[in-house]
Amino acid sequence: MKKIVPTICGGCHNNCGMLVHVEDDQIVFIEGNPEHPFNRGTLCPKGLSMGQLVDSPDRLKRPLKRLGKRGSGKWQEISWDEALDLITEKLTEIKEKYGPETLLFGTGAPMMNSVRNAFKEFYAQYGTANLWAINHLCFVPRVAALLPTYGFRDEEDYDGTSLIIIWGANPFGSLRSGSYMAYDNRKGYLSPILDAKEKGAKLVVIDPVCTQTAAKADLWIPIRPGTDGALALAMLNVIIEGNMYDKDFVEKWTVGMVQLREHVHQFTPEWAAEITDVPAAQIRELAAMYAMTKPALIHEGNAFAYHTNVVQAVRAIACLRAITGNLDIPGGNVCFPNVVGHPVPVEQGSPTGIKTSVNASAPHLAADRYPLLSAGAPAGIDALMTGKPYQPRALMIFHSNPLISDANYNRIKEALNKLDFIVDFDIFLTRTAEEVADLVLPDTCFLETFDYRTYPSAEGTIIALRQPVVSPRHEARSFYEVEQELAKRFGFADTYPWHTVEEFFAYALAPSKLDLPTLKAKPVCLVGKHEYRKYEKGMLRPDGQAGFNTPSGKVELYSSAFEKLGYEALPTYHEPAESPRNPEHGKQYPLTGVNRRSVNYVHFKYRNLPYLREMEPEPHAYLHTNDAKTRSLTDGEWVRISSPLGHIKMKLKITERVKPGVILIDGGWGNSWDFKTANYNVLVDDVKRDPISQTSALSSFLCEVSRL
Amino acid sequence: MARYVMIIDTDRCIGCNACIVACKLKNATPPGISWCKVIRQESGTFPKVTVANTPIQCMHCQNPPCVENCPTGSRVKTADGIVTTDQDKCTGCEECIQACPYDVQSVSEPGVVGKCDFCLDFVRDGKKPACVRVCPLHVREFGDLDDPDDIISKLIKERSIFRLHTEKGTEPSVYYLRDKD
Repeated sequence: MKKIVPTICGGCHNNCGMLVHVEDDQIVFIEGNPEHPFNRGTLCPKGLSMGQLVDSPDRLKRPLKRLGKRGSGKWQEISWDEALDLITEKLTEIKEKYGPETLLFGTGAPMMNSVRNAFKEFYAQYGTANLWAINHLCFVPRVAALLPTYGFRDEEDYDGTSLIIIWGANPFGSLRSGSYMAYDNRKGYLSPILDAKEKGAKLVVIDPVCTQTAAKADLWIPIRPGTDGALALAMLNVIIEGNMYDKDFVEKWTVGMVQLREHVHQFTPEWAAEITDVPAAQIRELAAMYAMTKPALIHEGNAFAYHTNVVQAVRAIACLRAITGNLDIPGGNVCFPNVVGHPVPVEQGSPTGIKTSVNASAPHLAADRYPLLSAGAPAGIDALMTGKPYQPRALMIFHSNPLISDANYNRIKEALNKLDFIVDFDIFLTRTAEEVADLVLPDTCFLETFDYRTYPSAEGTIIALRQPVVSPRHEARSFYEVEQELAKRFGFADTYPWHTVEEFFAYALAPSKLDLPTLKAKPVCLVGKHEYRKYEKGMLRPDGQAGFNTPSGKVELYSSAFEKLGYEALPTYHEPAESPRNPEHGKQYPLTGVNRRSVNYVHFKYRNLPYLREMEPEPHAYLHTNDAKTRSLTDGEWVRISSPLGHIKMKLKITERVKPGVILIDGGWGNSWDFKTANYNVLVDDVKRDPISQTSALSSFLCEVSRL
Repeated sequence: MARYVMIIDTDRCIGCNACIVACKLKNATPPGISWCKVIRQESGTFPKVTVANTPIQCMHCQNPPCVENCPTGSRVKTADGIVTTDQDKCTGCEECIQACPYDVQSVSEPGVVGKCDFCLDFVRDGKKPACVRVCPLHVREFGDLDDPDDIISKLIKERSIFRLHTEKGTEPSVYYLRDKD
């Protein structure tokens, strides 16, 4: 029997619409869905390859119980009942002996809503709030800067802009124009940036590397890694002292300009030039260009969250957007429907997960140390290593591979081995599952599951359905079933806000008045609407007053929230934790490592899909010609990259596209089906971190490269 | 009768491999074989570097040397401009590969030479080739040059175009757009 099933891809945060052609429960073809407004029929190499995910020989088939020592590779297949009984037994024991808060739960990047929604009610009812995740190296450190400043996490309005500054981001490498935004496009989901250029917008890219995006720019600024905050502060200096800011907006809608003006006086272009390697004249030009081009937008990307100074750097960028009057205007940085902080909810819940019917009584173990970003991995590792504030005892992992996807592999491994019980629910036997899990459960993949996705758009919020296109392989089960089974065994299933997939959808999407039957009939829906300048109309604050959703009701250039928490209330620059400028560090390890994204893969995933592996079979590091020459290295040879924490092996590519002094290293390798010796995170420290967001120096760590 | 041509805007191409994988998926080409390729070039010295991505595949020439040199008659050019291979007649002698100046063909199994066929079955069904439909930056366009209202005809008229190896007299049906050198 042949059918064509519309669903949405689960490969990355884009969630493009797909049409999957199925014959006799086998996927025979995949194409983009022309009816889905996000991608209108276009797709990427990953989405196209997802047929190879379903029947991959690496799929976990049945629950596996560890035999022998952790990492010995000995497993016993057990039934789901046995597996669920084992979890119940262990977690009950841990709750009684040590308290429920000693259960950590970890999830990875929520590119599917199920990743952030799964088991949240279970954990809350069990009594733990201890999300132990990857928030510290992604989107969330930037949100931690933006929310206190202007109350929402903006998206870029490319259509209608005159200047695009892409900063610490690589849309043409990650294949993502914005964060979650569905742009109106007739020419492919990546088209908005080039279409804006065609209409006359200038494109500036600030990045140590001439990435795929920088290669399309009118101006590429090769900044020293991790010094973006200094550049932003100098731009504030130029704009404020040159009186180039939007005086009306600043006066009416911001607080703290007096303090900011005084504060940035010291951050001259000359000061910044010395730090960033960007000439002072160019800094002045860029600042003037940004202030005087109307409208203008800055797309700050995930690379910011690879430095130990991320939060203050993004605070500076937030101030730039505000004082130039580019917030929530056409062509600027906009509060579109459904972005973080938008006051109109479309689903029951938050970016951290579905709304739970109860909350665990004990606060997050890192709530005191990191109030703005508790769930980052390093604090949990600290607790495991020190026993403070208490010793965690168990870990449940869903859609995550934290052993290799977080900085400092060796420290994480040592820490995780202190846990009494680790459960890993995944589709493959990842490095994490192999080396530290006691019980591994086979998950359904996205082509076998129901889920939903919400996308901001200029029209309103788009809500799309993910539905099974084939039956689950082997004994894979979706989280809906597994969570209910656990809830039953713990005796609280009756108080759950949902029991079936249908009830879950009705509960989750109640604010949008959508449910599963509605979505099945119409897999892509639009809810709500959008207007610009919401701050004038009382549409940004839950209380309906005009202004911004901040304590003062205005954009806080001087952040009262930061002041209250004892953080620097004005944006500041701190040198990256590992600096080539530090004579101690920089001698033995003179190169700065920067993480590279691949178009073919997502994080640590998909190197076991044959089409994608054919596109990019091996891990590479990219080095400038001069740096290679002084080390007598040749193009294409395998090299050793070392840091004080360890070493890895990569194949070398010599190029002029990388700033001298920088080595661009492929992230994401290190599972057993690819190259275990190429795990980027062996090199990177997690102890030195951003004091607000726990962020590691993933793209500003020191290393050296040598012959093997 | 139609005359199908393809236009590729290399300035838009980012080398993401979507077209390569779409072609592999549609044509079930085995590992290591691709009928669609991207030539990647870098030039200049830091910080003044240039990056160019040029997708190539069979050019579906108007004067195809492969057709001229095929001893079995398995390689033919259809009336609507698509150069195809009759797999049953092909003996894998590789004369077509020798004759072709573009290096866009491959032998995936003994006795079979494979190459892009403009997704002939899609096209006859009123759909565009897989590589055209999939591209997230709309690098490619495809249409009927005999139809003056087709987007193809308009683009060829209005934009600065070039084709590869025109000195060989092959008259390719794949045109490249370039606004800057």
